[in-house]
Amino acid sequence: MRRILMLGVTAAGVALAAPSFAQEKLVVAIYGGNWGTAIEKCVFQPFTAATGIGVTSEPSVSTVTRSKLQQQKGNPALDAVWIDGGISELAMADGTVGTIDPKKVPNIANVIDEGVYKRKDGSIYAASTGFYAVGLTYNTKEVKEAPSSWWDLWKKEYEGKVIIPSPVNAAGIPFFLTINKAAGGDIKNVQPGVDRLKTLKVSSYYDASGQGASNFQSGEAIIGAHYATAAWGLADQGLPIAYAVPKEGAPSSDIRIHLVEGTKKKESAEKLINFAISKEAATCLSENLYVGPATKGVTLTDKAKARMPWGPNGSVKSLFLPNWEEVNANRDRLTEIWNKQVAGK
Amino acid sequence: MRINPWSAVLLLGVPVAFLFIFFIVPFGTVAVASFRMPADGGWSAANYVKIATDGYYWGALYLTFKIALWVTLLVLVVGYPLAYTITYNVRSTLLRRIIYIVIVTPLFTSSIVRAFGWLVLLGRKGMVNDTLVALDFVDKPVQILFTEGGIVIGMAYIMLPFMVLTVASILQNINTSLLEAARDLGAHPIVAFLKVTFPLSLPGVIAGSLIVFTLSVSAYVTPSILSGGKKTVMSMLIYQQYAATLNFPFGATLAVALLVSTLLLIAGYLLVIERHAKG
Repeated sequence: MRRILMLGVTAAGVALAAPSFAQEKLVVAIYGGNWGTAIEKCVFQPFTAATGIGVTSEPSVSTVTRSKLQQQKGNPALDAVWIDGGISELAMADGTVGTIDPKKVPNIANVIDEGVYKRKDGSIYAASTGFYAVGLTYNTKEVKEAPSSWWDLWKKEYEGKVIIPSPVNAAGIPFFLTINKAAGGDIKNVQPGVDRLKTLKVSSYYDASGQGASNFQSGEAIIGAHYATAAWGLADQGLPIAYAVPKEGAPSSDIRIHLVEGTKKKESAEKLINFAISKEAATCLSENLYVGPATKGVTLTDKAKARMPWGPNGSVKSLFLPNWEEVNANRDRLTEIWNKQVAGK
Repeated sequence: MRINPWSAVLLLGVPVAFLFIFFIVPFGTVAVASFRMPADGGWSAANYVKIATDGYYWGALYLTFKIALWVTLLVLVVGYPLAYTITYNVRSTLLRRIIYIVIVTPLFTSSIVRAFGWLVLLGRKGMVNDTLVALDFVDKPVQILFTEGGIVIGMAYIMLPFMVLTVASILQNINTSLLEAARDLGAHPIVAFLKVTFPLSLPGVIAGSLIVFTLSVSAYVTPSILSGGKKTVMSMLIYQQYAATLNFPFGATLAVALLVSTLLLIAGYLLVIERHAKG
């Protein structure tokens, strides 16, 4: 009797499990917070509706996603991953991200050159789904004249009310390098940048974007280097916050999608990537997150157009896209210089 | 009382296994990683040499202990009278329970939320500065946020329940007839407190200060938010290595250095107390 019962249970189990074989489910790493929500809304939901392929999202930050891929190497639990520029290059060097084949992902032909990332051998390892930038974010009530240059942060009237990102923030080192370049330095010689940053009277350095935003909310900061997306998010809450692109360039990065090396659901994952870089998905992400679209031919509403990271009239050419391999190779050294000479001044 | 050997194995085995899986193994992994070189993956003690020979890391370690010490002192000064009052002066059991709940409730809130709360309270336009200006104590808002003082205030608030609960549990068990005897023999209440109550409550003070000190040394969220990146404690450096610089071996070295130096300090503290108790 017991055996018969067991058989019955097993049969029922198989019967229940069967449909899930037919309807594959992808596991995809995305971001937390409103970025993750926007990806679910703009990519996953319409993708599942169109193809019947389910998507389980796994929210985490880029560095953690990269670590997960390293641990899962050879037998990945993830099928596709979103990782930011900078960390994306490290994942490529780890050999944990696969190659995106333009034949299987035809929409890649529609992505601008700056948004297609290739290895030395020309194979594609990542595709951009939107650019973001750090520029001059300011309180329009306290800052009378709209800033136009990074050097405006040094103005006497803003002393002690300025915030800039720390090296823990993804924009920290790129910001440091932007200032250094504007001051006449280069990656080998960061002394000009250090000398300038030492004299900047900041209120605080922020690690997380939310910390920066909270400083604007409480009035602790009235101007600073902050993400355009965060600035417009505050403006949407009714705060007197605006964003301007500095003429020396706004350090930028992007959110990129990758195929995981060795995924068992390659075909479905490729379909998802193709969908994520489609015109519809790119338009939706840009309208929701105000990221600059990497897909060609995206038409935006006037509101979104005015809030692009490159400003109302710019393009990807107005962004300062760091040479990430150079940044990664120097991250250690630059962070130590920052710790000792800028934060610990 | 003798217990069955199997019960002993079970009683001892469960906590030992727990410690082994969740502390010894992860810490061993970290300790091993600290001897790796990020560049080539070879073995070396270079990370330790770097920490030992660079004044910056000694400075960070010093600041970490200095802040933890101030937090411990502040929590003791605020927490002891609180625990004393709850134990001896609050007669109603209901009221006492309500006070305990009020003390413990903040522990249910994430420390991120509480640190953000302090950002609002301690800021230039925050309630503390508003009050100081309104009462004419200061002419213009003072800088509390993003200073060592701000970090100490924020952390002390988080650590307070640990001190109050530990001290109160000891005070409750002090035999009150000892205190009555002291008073009968003519001791002033203050003398009776200093000679009888306080010495008897010392185990609670020692345990409470150890808990608060070690938690403060390893705290990350509160100092990282309330320092505004201007003051760097060890936990922030460790996080920086793991999350931003991605130099895991050096992060591991910093973690081991923090653990070992904290253990040494605590061992020294306990040794001094033991000597003192004997003498």
